[in-house]
This record gives sequence, C-alpha cells and structure tokens, in this order.
Amino acid sequence: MADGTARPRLDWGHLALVLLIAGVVGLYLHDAIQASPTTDNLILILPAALLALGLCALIAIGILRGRAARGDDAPLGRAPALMGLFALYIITLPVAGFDVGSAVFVAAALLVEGERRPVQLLVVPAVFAVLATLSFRALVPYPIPTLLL
Amino acid sequence: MIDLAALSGAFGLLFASYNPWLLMIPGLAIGLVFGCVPGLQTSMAMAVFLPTTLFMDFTSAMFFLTAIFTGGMFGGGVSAIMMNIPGTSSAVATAFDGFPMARNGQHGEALGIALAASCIGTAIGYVVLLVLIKPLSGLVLAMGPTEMFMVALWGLTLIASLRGSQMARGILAGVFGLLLGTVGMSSNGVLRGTMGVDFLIDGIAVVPAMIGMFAASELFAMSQRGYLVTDSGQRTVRFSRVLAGMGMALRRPVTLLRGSLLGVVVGAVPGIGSSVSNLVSYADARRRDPAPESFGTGNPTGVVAAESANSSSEGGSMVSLFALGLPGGGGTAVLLAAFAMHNVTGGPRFLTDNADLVYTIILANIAQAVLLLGVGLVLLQALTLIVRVRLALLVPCVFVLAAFGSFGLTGDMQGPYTLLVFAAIGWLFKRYDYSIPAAVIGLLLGRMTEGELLRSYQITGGDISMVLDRPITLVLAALLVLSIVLPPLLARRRARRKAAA
Repeated sequence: MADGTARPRLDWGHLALVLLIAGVVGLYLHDAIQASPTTDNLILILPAALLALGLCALIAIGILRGRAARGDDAPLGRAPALMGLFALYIITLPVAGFDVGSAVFVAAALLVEGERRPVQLLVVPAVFAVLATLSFRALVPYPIPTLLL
Repeated sequence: MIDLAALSGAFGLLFASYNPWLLMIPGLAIGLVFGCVPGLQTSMAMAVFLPTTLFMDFTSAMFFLTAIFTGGMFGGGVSAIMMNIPGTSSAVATAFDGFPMARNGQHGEALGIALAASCIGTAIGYVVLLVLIKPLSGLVLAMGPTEMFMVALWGLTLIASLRGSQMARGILAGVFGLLLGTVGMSSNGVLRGTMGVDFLIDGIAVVPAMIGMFAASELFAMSQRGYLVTDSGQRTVRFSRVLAGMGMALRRPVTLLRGSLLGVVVGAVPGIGSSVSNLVSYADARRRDPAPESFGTGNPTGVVAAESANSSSEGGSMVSLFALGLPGGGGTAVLLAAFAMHNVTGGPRFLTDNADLVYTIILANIAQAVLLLGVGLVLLQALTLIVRVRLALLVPCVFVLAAFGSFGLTGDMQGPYTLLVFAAIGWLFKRYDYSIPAAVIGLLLGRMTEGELLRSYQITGGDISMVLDRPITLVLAALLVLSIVLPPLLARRRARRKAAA
C-alpha cells in the first residue's frame, strides 16, 4: 500500500538514457583525443564534453536519490510499436524499395492503430505510396530505390 | 546610398514586359509546396527548376527563382505550424509557438501570423537591401571569424532560453546536440567520432536529424488522439481566422520590424543565413517579452519574430551574391549558377556595371512579397486540409514523406538512417523532458561554432586582447551581454515598482 513516506520508484528508463548520453559523449571525447590531442582539435569538444558529463552525473545522482522529476508517466500506448515499425521500414528500404516499403509501413501502422476496413488497409496505403514515389522520383535528382515501380 | 538613375532604369526594366511577372505566381507556389514538405528544401526546388530557366532571359530567370525562394521561406513555416516539422531549417523557431497554437485550435491564426510576417519580412528585407546594399557589402567583407563566432554564440544562448522546465536536462540536451554537430571531419582536417561509418565523414545530416527529432517527439504520441485539432468545429481554416492572425501580426509592429532587421543583418553573413536568423530573432523576442515563460506554449509574438526574420534574411543573403559574387547558402548558390548559365558574372563589378538590373531584381522581390499574400491565402486552404485527416493515417504518411525527403537531401540511405536514429533520440528526449529545440539548435550550430572558434583562436594566437582591435566583435559582444543582462534587470525593476505602487 502506498503512503506518503514510501520511497519513490527508481526511474530506470531515465537512468538508462542518462547513461547512454554519458556513454556516447565519453566515447566521442575518447575518439577525438585519440584522433588529435591538440587544442585546435579539442577547443570546443573538450569543454562541451566535460560540461555534458558533469550534467549527466548531476542528473544521475538526482535519479538515484529519487529527487529528479519523473519523465512522462503517461502509458506508452502504441508509440513503441509505431517506432518499431518505422525502424523496420527504414532498415528494409534498400530491399523493399520506397514503393512497396512505404505501402506496407502505412498499412501496418494503420493495423496497429486499430484500422480493420480492407479498403483503408489495402487501397489507401498503396495509392499514397505510388503517388509519393512517382512525385519524389520526378522531383529528386537521384534514382530512388524501388521494387515494383 | 541609392543610385537614382539606376533605380529609374530598374522601374523601366520591371515593366518592360509582362512575361517575367507571369512566372512569379508559379514560382511562389512551387516554393510554398517544396517548403511545406518535410525534407524538401527551397534550394532543392530552385536547383530542380534551374534547367527550365535556360529558356528564359536573365531577368525572367531571376524573377522565377527568387519567387521559389520567397515561397519556400513561408512554406517551411506551414509544416512547422501544422505538423511540428519545420519544412526547412529556417523555420525551426516557427514550430516553437506555431505548433502549440495549432494544438490549441488556433492554426488559422498561426498561419495568418506566419503569412503576414513573411510578406512584411520579405518586403522589409528587400527595402533594406535596396537602400543599404553598398554599405552592407562592406560590412560583409569586415565579418571575420571572431564576429561570426559572436553571431553563433548569440544563437547558442537560445539553448538556455529553451531549456524547458528542467534546466540541467535542457542544457544537457543542447550541449549533446552541439557535440553531435561537430562529428566528422573538422575544419582542421581531423576526423572524429565517425566510428568507422563513412556517412559521417561530412558530419551528421542536420536536416534529416532535425526532422526526426521534431516529428517523433510529437507525432508518435499523438497518433491515438484522433485528429490534429481535437475540436471538430475548429477543423477548418476559416478565411476570417487567417485574417485575424494577420491582424495579430500587424499589432506587433516592433517585433515585426526588429525581427526583419535582425533577419537582414544575420542573413547577410555568408554561411549563417536564415537558419540562424530565426533563432536569434526568437531568442531576442523572448528575452524582451514581459512574460517569457509564455513562449513555447503558443505565444503569437514568437511566430512573428521567427517568420519575419527568416523571410527578411532572404534579402540579406542577396548582399554577398550581388555585391561580392559569393553565395551565402544553398538558395543563393543556385542563383549564382543561374548567373553562370546566362553568362552573367557576379561580384563587385556586377553591382557597379549592372546596378539597374540589381535594382530590378530587388523591386521584383518587393512585389513578390505582395503576391505571396494572395498565393498564400489561396493555397493555405488546400495545404491545411491535413487537419481533417485522421492522425492514425496522417502520422505514418508524414513519416513516409520524411523518409523520401531525407533520401532526397543526401542522395543515399544516410538521410533515412539519420532520420531513424534521431527519431528515436527525439522520442526518448520527449518522454524524459529533455528540450528538443535546445538539442536541435546545438546540432545546427555545432559545426559553425567550432569552426569560427578555431579560426578565432588561430588568428589571435589565443591572445584575447587581439579582439580589442575588432570593433564589430566588441559591439556584437556588448549587445549580446546587454541582451542577456538587461531584460532580467528591467523585469526586476518593473516588479519592484509594481510592488512599491
């Protein structure tokens, strides 16, 4: 049973994000120093990275002590599923092409959102993908990877 | 300052034929559509349509291409307001208050503000150019690395202003963005942070990254909301509300004028241009406002400041093109290519020998600002139909367009991959209350800040007293310090007076 004195739950997700940022910054700083440890190369990177690492430490201590304001506690809903679908769409683009990949992504996203009408699931994504592919092919000066068109 | 004989010649050239005028409306419409689609840049539209100008005379080609430029500056603001995705990097600050206004059902007003501010900003930008092109070109030549660094610093102070409710997280987001902005080959020729990925040698593709962060931060979470505008009664863009928005912009003449003037000056600096001018103007408006905390929640003044500055920066960017023959950014680079296609050589002699032609182009652009009002009002009705599309369909479609646009920007899969990585970062940042605008500003300014800081260090040899010989740097530094220190002091004085009363 929760009461006013209960210790707040640790915000693991937030802690992981802070550690991730610190890791990326640390790696970048290490790589930059390895590349050239001169003032010319580190004039901005070193002070900025140290500031970022200091802020990461400050925020991480706040999270561990349960003092940091919690992130958005709203339920994640379908956002992770959509994010996952988008990742799949982008990663498979070189194989599925922009035409088929886009149609499948829009249809899958509609399905995740609860759409069940066949016309909405099959026709709308296909028409949108064809129109988008043809328009961009006309506008963009590079060949666009496609499977069918 | 104005060569009156050349100016009268320019009026003659301007009305010599109606053919160039006929090209302005399609040019504005093309620019508007390209500016609206996330990932399609105005400079890309100008490049795509550059070959069609081969069959035009030089004046017509300039009218057409600069019309695309003008339309694109406003178009970028439309998607920033309607979808929270700045169509171009020059519309980043428009999204800060424009999108909250749209979510509050004030999309008609926000678009009206953007349209009025864009038209007035463009007109002011070119009027200033008309009067000051000669002294401004001297100023451009006097801008060295220390001055450019001060301008970059001015943009970076916005990170502190836009840090959000959590100061440490906001500043961390900004510094993280700044560091990511420096990844790749430095201006000193050192390769850092690429982790063996060839895509990153030229640095992170900033526009796909920006689109990913802005789009993912809002759209994934919104897809279950039904529609962009919750109230079904407000899902139309009524003409009266766009006009009301235009009225809101006109009731802020000081912000309009200040934003426009800042836009011209910052836009005139080669390599900086419109993507920084809107941020500098927004930061300035926020600092001066009696209620700075209302910025970011749908304050119309923020939209006025951003849109007036990015539109007037177009006039500013023409300074280096006309006076020095140097392109300051993508759009002016295409114009320079058009110069070459028509056997016209830019540079100081072009300005002296062809002053009438330069004035003709400037006058035509002032006319375009008026035409934009009409084209914008007509096209807005079509462009804003998206508020009637269910978010369940709109969200994946916007992401598909962003993927296409990102591919178009880089010409390979670097764009879509960058979009994906930064969409994930944007989503996580939003969830844990890290300021996305701060991260985007850091990313936009990282490379430039480092480059100018390094060059400043190299020319001064680390001796800070050398800066004392650079009056423009000192003036910029003094203005920067004043703009940071004065507003809180004045606010405190106002509060004290109020308490005493």
